Amino acid sequence: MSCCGWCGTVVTPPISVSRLLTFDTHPDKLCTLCRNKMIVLSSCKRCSECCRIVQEITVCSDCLMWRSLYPKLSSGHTALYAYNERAKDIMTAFKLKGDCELAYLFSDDIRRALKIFPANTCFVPVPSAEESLSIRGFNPVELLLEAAGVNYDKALTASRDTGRQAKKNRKERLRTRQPFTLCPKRSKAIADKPVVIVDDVYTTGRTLYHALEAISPCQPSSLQTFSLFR
Amino acid sequence: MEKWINWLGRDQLQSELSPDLRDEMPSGLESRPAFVKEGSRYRCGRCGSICCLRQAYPCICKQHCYYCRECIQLGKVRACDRLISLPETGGFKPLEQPVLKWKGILSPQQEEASKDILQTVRQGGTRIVWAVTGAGKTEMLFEAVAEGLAEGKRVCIASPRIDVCLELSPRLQEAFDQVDMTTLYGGSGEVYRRTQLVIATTHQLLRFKEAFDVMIVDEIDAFPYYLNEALYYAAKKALVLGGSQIFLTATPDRQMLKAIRSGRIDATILPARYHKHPLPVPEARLLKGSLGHGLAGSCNASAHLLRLLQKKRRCLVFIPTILYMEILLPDFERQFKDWRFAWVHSKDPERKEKIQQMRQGELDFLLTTTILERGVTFADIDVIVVKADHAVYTEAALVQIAGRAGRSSAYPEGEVTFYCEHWTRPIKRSIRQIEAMNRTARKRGLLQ
Repeated sequence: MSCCGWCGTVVTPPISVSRLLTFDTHPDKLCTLCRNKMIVLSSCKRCSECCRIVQEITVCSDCLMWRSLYPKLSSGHTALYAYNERAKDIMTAFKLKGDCELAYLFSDDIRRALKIFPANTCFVPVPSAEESLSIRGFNPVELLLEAAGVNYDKALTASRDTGRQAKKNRKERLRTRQPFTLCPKRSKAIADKPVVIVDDVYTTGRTLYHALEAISPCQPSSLQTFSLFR
Repeated sequence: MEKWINWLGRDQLQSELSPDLRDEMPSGLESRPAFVKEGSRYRCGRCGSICCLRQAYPCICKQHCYYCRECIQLGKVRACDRLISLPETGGFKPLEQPVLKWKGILSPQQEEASKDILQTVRQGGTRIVWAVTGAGKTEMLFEAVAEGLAEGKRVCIASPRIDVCLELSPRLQEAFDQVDMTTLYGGSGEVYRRTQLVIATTHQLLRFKEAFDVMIVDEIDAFPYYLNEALYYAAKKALVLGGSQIFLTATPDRQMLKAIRSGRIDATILPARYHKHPLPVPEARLLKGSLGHGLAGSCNASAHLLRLLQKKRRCLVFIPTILYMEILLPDFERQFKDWRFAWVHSKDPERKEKIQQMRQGELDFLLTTTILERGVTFADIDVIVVKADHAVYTEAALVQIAGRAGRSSAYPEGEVTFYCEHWTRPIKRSIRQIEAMNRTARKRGLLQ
């Protein structure tokens, strides 16, 4: 017997032979109801580049814009879930209220998703701005990775405070200036390795493209991005 | 000191203090660590729950700290923080007699309970008032509250449910029109102000420490047991040492029943409704040879519902979970397409409108999860419980559900039917409890 990590409903997972044989003591952390509220992007019609849900499988207009802006940085983006109302509620509780324990809600999903990348991949979390770090006390992306048991490389630092992204509208977000700088000590460790930049939510793509731009000078062998929500 | 007047009796985090308050710390300020170590465990100083985090997390103090998940809705309590409280000093504006403006008449049984409560307010201590659903609990508090206020005591009336608080507050303001009062609940948007009379959700009580001389908690049984412990903790923490606590309930839990029977707690029992008719006793119908998932149960229940609807009765149909409701809905929509009905559950944004429609008679029946088990009154309805053997139906829940029927004095009758595949303890006990209350009421001559 365990409780749903989000709504607290007591769930009794069904006993199956495979679970008994593998001693799998960590069944789904969400109850069926909450699980049904999460939209798995890999089962949706989505933009082949940024995983946004679209009517027809093509490259969405946003990604075409990014391609023209950053012709060399065209990356593949992987996202797990749609950023719907439920996902927003979870992120509010996690980031704004500061309920760090929620990082474990998706630890299994993240671990599974990041296993696909080669073993020598460097996972680089998007850094928090100094201001939000002093209010929250933690970097949500780093916590998500720690909970998933993934080693990460803090190759980026937030050098300039550009204000909270969540408080801006789309236009203001897109106009944000480059906030990240490459950490010189780390740049050698990354060179010639595949790099995946990890963020919690992909909204406009602005943050992740800034991160890509900042990390590209150290010439990783491949460059991709990953986010929990899109 | 002027600035701190609002914070008398409050219990708050040091990190939440505004800078101008921090500059001028008054004497008598109590400061204690936010977390108390008990052996190898940590206990939150604000809500009293044991910290059950997997690990300590990075914190604003640049270290790794534990925090409390239970009361995070009221702001994060970090282990590196401190809780600040200032003892309540009283000194409220004297009131003119009569304090109580309410001019209703109490029934003999209410009169008796009112006297008991008054005595507890005078002497201090704890009293449980066990009153059946629809006994008229609020009115019998008035006299005791009036006396407490007249003596300059600080009084709080709390309930676990926001709906109850919002319903109580205008009634009390009317009854005590010269008393300054506030209603506190999550998301009210109001800035806290210190008043003599406070109406609050039990959650908000966590923000007080030794503030109230009289603490009245309505519907203490609204939560399952493990949450109840936090509620008692909150009620006790907010109470001045030696103050009086009054707990109101329609369905005391096992532990409380034991305490009442053994006489460890003073108790007042009101076994009859205000309108002096007996409580409707539920009838449990056992279904044999069902399909395992209980769909057969709902078939039988829907046939019964159809019969009732044809007799021009209006019904409340209880369904254990939202998931189950989603499974059953297509069946209901097919079978009852000629009838007006709606469904509500806790996550339904239109729930208020639907309940209002049901109340005005615009709907023939309403499908609901346990959210309508208490607090709502519909005149002249019958109640059907589908799958009454489901784990969500505790003894208290079933008694409350049965208590939805026959509430108004114009229509004191109502039919309550439980459909189940097995006899469960809650089913048996709830029926037994209702019958026992009716018996007691008859013995005391409280029924017509």
